[in-house]
Amino acid sequence: MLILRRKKNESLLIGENIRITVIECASDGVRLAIDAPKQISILREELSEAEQTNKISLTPDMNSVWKLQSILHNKKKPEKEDNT
Amino acid sequence: MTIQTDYGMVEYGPEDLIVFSDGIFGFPKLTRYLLLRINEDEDDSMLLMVSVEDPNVIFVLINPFSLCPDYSPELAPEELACLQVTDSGELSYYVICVVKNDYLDNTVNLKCPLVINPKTRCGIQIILANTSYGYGHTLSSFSSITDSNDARSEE
Repeated sequence: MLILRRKKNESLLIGENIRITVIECASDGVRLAIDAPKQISILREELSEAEQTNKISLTPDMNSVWKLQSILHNKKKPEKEDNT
Repeated sequence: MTIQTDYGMVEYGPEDLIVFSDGIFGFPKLTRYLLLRINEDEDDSMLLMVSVEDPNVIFVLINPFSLCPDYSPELAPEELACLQVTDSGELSYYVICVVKNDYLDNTVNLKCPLVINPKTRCGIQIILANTSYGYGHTLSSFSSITDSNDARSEE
């Protein structure tokens, strides 16, 4: 892991064809300009995590879904003994 | 119209659809979904969301307030505008659940709720800036789940 300090208008070069420049530093965030070939994907990290989380949520086993639902249903009516 | 899912044949009309015009994260091309109750007599705190464009794409949605009564998603002005509301209280919120065999291992993504305008039936998935919400909260972390089930086992 490389840690560097850059001031406003200073840049980083990654590989042969990626440049990241600090445009602005403010208390609520840093504005960056990224110059890279189109085929390189550039994502806010949280977007990548959001996609990944959606993908692992896909098409669950239905038995587990029914089991979960019965737990949540019982949560609402704890005094009921019959949960069918 | 009908779609065939692994869980049965479902009939629907265009008015039953929820439209995510930008899709949801990782699924940008799928825009039209049905929200289905799992059993007819259950309430809406847990639903299946099925893509009518690809019936293999199915998500389990949970009403986050049933797990976490003080859940407070904050929407940016452009997100409210996109959903054509001025007050976030007019919107419905669901979170996507990763369902596993042991229900306590199930996780919900509180950071990326689905936000739906129930009048227009349009929705978006957003990423909340609030750092107290994460992508995978286990159900066992919600006291509303563990407390009631502890009580039940004492009956």
